[in-house]
Amino acid sequence: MKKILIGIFLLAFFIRIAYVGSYPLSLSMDELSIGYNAYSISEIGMDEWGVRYPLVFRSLSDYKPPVSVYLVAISVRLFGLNEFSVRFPNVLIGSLSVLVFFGLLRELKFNKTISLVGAAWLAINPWHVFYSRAGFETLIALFFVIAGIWFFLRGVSRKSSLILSLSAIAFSLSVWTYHAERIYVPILVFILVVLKRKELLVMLKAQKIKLIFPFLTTILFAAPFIYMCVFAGDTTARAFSTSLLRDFHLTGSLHAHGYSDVLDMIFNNDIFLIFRHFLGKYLNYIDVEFLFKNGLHLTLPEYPGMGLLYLVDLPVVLVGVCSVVTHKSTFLKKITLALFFLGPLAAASTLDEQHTLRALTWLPFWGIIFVSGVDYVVKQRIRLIKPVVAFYSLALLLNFTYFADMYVRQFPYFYSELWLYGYKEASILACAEKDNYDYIVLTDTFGQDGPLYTGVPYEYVLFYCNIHPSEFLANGRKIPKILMRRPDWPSDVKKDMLVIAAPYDFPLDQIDQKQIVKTISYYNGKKAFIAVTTRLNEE
Amino acid sequence: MQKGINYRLLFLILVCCPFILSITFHFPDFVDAWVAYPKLAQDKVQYLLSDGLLANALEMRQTNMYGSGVIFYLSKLLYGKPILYISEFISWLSYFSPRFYFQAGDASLFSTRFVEPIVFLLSPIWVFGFFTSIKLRKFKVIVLYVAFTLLAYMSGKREFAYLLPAIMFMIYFIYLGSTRLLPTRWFRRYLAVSVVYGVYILLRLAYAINI
Repeated sequence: MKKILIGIFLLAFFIRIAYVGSYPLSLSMDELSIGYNAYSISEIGMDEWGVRYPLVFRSLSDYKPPVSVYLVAISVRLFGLNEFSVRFPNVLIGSLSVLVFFGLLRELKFNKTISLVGAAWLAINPWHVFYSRAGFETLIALFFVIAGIWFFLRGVSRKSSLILSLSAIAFSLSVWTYHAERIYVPILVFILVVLKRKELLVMLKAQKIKLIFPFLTTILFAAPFIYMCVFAGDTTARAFSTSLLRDFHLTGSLHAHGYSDVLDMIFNNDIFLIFRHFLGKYLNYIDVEFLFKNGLHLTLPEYPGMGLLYLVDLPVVLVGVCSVVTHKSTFLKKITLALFFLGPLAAASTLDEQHTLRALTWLPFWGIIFVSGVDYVVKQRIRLIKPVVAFYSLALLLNFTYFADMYVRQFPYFYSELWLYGYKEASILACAEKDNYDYIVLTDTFGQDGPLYTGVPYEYVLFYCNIHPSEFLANGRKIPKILMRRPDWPSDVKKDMLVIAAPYDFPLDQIDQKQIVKTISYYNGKKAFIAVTTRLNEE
Repeated sequence: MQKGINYRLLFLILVCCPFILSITFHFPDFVDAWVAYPKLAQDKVQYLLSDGLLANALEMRQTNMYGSGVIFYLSKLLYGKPILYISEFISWLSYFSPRFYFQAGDASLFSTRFVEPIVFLLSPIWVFGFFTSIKLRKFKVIVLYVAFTLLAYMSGKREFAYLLPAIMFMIYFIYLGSTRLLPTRWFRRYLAVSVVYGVYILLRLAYAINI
């Protein structure tokens, strides 16, 4: 069994680490921010704003919890500042999640074989693989959540306050890793305590003093968090910036200037409207298309897509639902129900619809349901089980092939633009040429069909030009000779500059072809940026 | 379980279904919608059989990693009609997703954007009732429910008018679930809250229409 589990771990690791520096094909803005802050911590012990070992990292538009940054700092120290080092902690923790999930399933009383199937399911699950291959904090937070539940159940069943302390550490770390867990974890822990209250009371009577340790651990982690929530706006800033209260679909119907009459107050009450809006977002997650057809958003809406789970998971999931509903264990029923309702809760409280990143906390529920389905089928002792398994394996292989193609080819083809593909090349060019010109202009506006998006090129320049944090801070958080703005061609043309911007930012009919130093394309071949020198224009 | 229909319970459940009021007011439009159904269904069948369905898949076949060489046929399989039909099947399954029935509706005459067609508090009872019907081996009801949903899907539009027959079966599941849970005190309280909320929603609908 151990060998099989190690094999599953290695499979998970291989799927996650293969070409991780190249796919996804560009670092996202969040990854860059985490990566450069991690580099800064590992080099000078300060973040990019000059704060020494912060507990909250100020980013471009929000404040990031610290766990990911410190983990990446270790990786950057080991492997240098590059795409691989930023993504490696996620690869490793994503792979370790498979082992932790196996432990959780065992603690939920599934037998070893079924738990191994569960571990294998997670190892190849597209939703988990997708977030394991890029520097998303949510994946690390999920690892701590699964570990927290596992340790909690193990601690209660073994009556061990030490294991319960480990659970407290894991849950606390998850809260310190990603925002969604701040809503999810306290409710989940409350439910776990309620469900296991009898066992906990017995423990409390038997070993009063020892049970203080999990409480102390929780307080140790919670105290600075509560302090920051109350006295520093940093921790709550993110919650406000992404809250569904800022959704313009909702704000338009709210009564900022009061109600017109009493009936308006009764029937169009803001509290009711907010709740109804939340309910709509929440129920949007319970959608078969989202789960099995296009939830990962790897392609445009009208094209064949990829769901959060494989298509072949669908029949097993349906059996799993029936199996859990009719299961003997009331604890399994209740915890599965809790995980079902809690999963999309935090995600539904935010601006975006069907946000797979924030809803990743839902994944353990689907894992348990899948495993319950397999468990049920195996227990039926169906005579033709071998052909069924063979057919299922073949279909799964086909599904995996489909996912691999979607991930490696279709996703870059459709979305390289949204992953800011091209900025790496543009930044490296800017750094290479900055000594040859008075100034380099690097645009912050891009989009293959027009100026639709705004990026933050300075993070790319910092990252790919390996600008030392102390140098960056000494220059007042500025990068000498590189201006991050959209070009203003009529006035820019009078200076000695290299302008790197989208093609529509230049009067191409007035520019000599010799002035174009370089053309940078998106993955689908459409032009992303062109680098134009102003020198020949002057001549 | 009590034999015969519990009319009081059924009435309380119907109070929680504001769509009935909308349908009553707009019954002629409802009939008109069904008169147009055969043409819509014909169009949907033609779409499913046409090559139009394949257009986007063919584009993806050009960019996919298996697009050339000996495994060209894998490419045809991945981005061919079988996968697209499975995709359509999933789209049909999404007609069972609860948001439409318990929150959003289709903002048509039959299900206004102000209120949900069925109050959301009954959604867990619907799920429970569905599993109860499986447990009681009421497979004919389930088959009819599934068939009517398929009928709505074949219109090519997720519209309330076409989903109404399926919704009637949903109400049956809610009724079935409720009769099983009725002996429990917590459910009677839950149902009372649902009815109060249902009345509020009905009044809200009346207020909204008045506007």
